[in-house]
Amino acid sequence: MMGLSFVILFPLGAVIIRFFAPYLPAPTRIHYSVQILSILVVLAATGLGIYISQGDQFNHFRTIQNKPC
Amino acid sequence: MLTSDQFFGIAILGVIVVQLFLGYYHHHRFIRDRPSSRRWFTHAHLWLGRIVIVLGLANGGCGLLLAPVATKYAVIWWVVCGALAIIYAVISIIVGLSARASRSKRAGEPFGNANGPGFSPERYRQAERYELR
Repeated sequence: MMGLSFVILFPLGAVIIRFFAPYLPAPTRIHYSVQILSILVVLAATGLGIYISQGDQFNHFRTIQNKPC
Repeated sequence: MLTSDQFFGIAILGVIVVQLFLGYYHHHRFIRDRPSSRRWFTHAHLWLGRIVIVLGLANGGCGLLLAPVATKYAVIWWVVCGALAIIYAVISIIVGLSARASRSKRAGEPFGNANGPGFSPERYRQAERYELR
């Protein structure tokens, strides 16, 4: 979901106001609607991320693999 | 203890919320002043937006490093996202340059001229001085 939002939704909102503004009826409204939708998706994805990071599996996997990030 | 993916994720979330208010302020001032050129908060909104999307894409790769998948998928993620970002940058620069060229062909000035839609007394005086010189 986080990936979907950052790869598709945020750039879509940017492209709408940057390139398609002359061809759309209300570019500003579409721009902020798309970006607010993306922010909501990102918030939901953050919740999911926090949820999976609370489980034992996350830390177990991280310690056995010695992950740096 | 936060991992770097978690730390940057929260930071990016904060910047996106700043973008929301910066975008609102930019539009509010745009409606109020009808400016003939971009001011600092407009540039801040545009550049913060570009930077935060790239940071979010990069952070996605960091998240994949944490996930129980092979490291090569994180590298693939970074390569694909980098390619997309470069494609977007190239298209954006080409479109921006051609739009600027057509604008200056019409008005003779990159931001339109002093008597055009961006009229203000200061710009008019400036243009008059320019013509007298």
